[in-house]
Amino acid sequence: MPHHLPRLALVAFSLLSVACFPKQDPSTSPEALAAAAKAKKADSVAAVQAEAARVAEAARVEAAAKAEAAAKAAVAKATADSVARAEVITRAITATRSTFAEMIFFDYDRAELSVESRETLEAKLPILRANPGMRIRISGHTDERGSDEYNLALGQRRAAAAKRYLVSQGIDEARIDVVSFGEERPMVEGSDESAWSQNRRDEFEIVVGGDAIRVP
Amino acid sequence: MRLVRRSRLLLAPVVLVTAGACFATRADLRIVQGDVLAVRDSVRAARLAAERRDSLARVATDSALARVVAALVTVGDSVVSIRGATQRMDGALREDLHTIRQQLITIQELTGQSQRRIQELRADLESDAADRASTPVVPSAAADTTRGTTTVGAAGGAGTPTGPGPAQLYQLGQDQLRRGSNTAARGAFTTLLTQHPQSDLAPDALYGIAETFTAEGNGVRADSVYNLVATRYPQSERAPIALYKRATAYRLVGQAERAQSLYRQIVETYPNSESARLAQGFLTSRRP
Amino acid sequence: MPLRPFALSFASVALVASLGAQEPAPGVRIGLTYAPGTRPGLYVLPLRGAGADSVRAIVARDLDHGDRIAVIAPDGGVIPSGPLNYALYQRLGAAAVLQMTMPGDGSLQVALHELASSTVRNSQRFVLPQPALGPAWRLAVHRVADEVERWVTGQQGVAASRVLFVRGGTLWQVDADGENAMPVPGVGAALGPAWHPNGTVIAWTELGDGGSRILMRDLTSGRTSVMSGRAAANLSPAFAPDGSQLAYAAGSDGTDILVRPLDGEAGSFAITAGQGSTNAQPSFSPDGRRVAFTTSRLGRNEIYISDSDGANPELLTTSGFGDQLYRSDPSWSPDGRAVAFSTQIEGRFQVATIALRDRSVKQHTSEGINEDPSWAPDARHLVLTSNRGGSRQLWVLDTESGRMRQLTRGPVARMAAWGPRLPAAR
Repeated sequence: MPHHLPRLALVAFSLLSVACFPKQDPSTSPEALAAAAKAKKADSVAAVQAEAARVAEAARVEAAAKAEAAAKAAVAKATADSVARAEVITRAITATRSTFAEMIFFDYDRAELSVESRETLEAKLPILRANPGMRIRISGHTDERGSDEYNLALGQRRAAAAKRYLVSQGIDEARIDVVSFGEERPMVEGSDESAWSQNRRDEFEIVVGGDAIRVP
Repeated sequence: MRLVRRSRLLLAPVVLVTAGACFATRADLRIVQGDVLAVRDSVRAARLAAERRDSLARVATDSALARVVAALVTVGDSVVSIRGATQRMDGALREDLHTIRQQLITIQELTGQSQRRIQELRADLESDAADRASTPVVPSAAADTTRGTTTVGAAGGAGTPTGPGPAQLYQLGQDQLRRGSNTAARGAFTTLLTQHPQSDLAPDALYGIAETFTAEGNGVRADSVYNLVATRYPQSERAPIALYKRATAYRLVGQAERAQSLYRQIVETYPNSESARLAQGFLTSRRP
Repeated sequence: MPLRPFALSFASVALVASLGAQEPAPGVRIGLTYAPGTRPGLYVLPLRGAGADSVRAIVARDLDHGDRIAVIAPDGGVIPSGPLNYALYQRLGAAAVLQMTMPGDGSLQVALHELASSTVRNSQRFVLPQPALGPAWRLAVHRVADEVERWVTGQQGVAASRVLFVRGGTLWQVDADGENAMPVPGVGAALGPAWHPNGTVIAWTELGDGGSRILMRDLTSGRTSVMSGRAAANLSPAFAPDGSQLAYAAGSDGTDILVRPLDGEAGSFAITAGQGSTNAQPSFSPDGRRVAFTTSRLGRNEIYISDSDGANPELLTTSGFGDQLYRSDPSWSPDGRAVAFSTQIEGRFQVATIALRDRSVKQHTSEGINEDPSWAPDARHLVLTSNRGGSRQLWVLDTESGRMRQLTRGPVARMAAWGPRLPAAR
């Protein structure tokens, strides 16, 4: 430890200087004085000690409060952070779900996909790819016009058209069920074109894997 | 090298302190301390410089890597996008193909309808021609001018000025068959075959005769006439239908093997016919 | 129109043949002597006994619903004692008088007096199962009315039959006179019912969350069996006229029509090769040799007929009528002469019939939306769904006179299937 040597030298010097200091003469102060002084000294020591204790206690309390506040703040911040993060995730999942559930619509007595329908189906592909365990059901629906029985068959063709498209995009056909409800489950009641056009649709539903949907 | 130099630097103050310990002053000590600090600083600086050199090199490497990675990602993205586009196109194409196939079926159906309509029109034409041919007496005063019309009408009646044309006969047979007059229907079809054996309606007439036997419940005769349709007019559209009818009859009387061999024959010989598509169903449904 | 000698000779042969077929055996006369195309007047006398007024009311109403007889049955009226004053009833416009008496042994004695000849033409005793006014008793009275209609017109009535339909997503049935409307017990979600020709077996389409299937039930034993296979969509069952086979549409993309024997699925085969198009709603001709069905193979929805093995498919509705866009719901008439169907005319569905002989089309409805016809066993009446009364209900149409009567009331009723004349032992 060579670089500690200067400090050692300094210590040696101070010891020398203490040794050279002249000593106080004890005979100059009487015993009573000494006792009083001693008592006074004890009192002041006690007072100082009490004061120190008080200060220490205050400091301790303050520190504790500060620590508690800090902890609370930290917890609050963490909670807020996780809530915010959860919100972001929830929002993303909700968005994913609604993208997946977005319906496609058809012309009267037709089962062909429009360009718009293809785009809507397109948007579902990443979700299906990100969730390979997901099983879905496409249900075809018709408006109220025409034969109730034939509409059941028409709804089937509409559901099958959407399935055919998803399968052509590489989705395993075993993951897709198709079902027709014909005109039996209208989305909008009414007997005008606005109701009819909304009822001529395919609906998309997650059968398996909807609880833990992964956002693509 | 560096270690040796550092230890030598550190050794110097030690020697100094031990030598002048007894007479050293406070100022001397400060100088020594300053030296020590200076030495330390220079050591630290040296170390920092070395580290900075290293990190600079690392940064350079990292940025090069990042550039490569970025380039790769770009390439990857475009590959994904191209694949997406290809798949989209593929899907769109398949959908379009499906639509086109549906439209083809529709066209085939419409062609069939048109042929039937043409057949009806031909029958009407022939009957009009026959009317004109059979009633030239009425405008007898103008016999010279009507003769030409009569000849044209007779030509329209496929060279038999006295009787009805093949289309008319066929239509007649069909009408009779529809209303259950099997003998009358058979008469019309037979007349067509004997008077117009070269007519393109001959296979239809022969098929019609078989139908009259079916309607009468005479399965044996029906089967032999259906067989005649398929062997005499193998190129006719009626041939696969006649075979299919034979198969149906055998199936209904429980001769499954004969039915199966006929279904197979239809699928192999007339793969694009409607009968083949129906026969195919029997072949697959019989598979265990 | 110039003559076509050849065609004419064939036509006359056919005419004679068809007349010969309808000519009754010697010594037997069918129906009263009355001018064709008019409705003979029938005076229905009041009677005495348990539920006597109901018997008279039911018989009179059934005969009126038959649209072949002008019923004269004034409220009250006097129950005659002794021989009938034929001249009196003749002055009231009657050609015949129906006299019913209840001897008190639970039977009904029925006599038909022909006024022109002043004789009792028909007389028969009918048993009425107790309790009076119960469903079985009503059915027996309907059977009396159907027999009287045969005595008077030569054509048996259809009052003793029932109509299956869909209400509130399940199966219901109602007597042909609109009474006794009730759900068929134990049937879940149901669409498109069909009757077996024996009147004791029915089939329908069951629509669940996972798809649809065909179920068949024996109404006597209550035994229900699944008739369809594994395809996602199964719909529109129809029994063959001989009752041995069931046809229905099945598929996962388009649908094809399958035919299978009632016992054992092994013999199931397709009679359409739709290649992705919809083929559904089979309806057999009464001889079982032909089938009418709905298909989208032309792009739009049309009615085709083919042989019952699928050969020779051909567009039935070629005639230029309606919107040329959408036709469906074929129902082959029990006499084999026509097919009833729904067709879109000026954007709304109407019921029409097409004659198989000359392909002439007759439109039967024009008020409101009318669709999904099903023939009564008499080949004259159709039950159909119409919204003319405000909500969708079943109505009965007389195809000869165009007269319509409402069959159901209450919640929406649709998809009607008129059953066969019900057998006596039920």
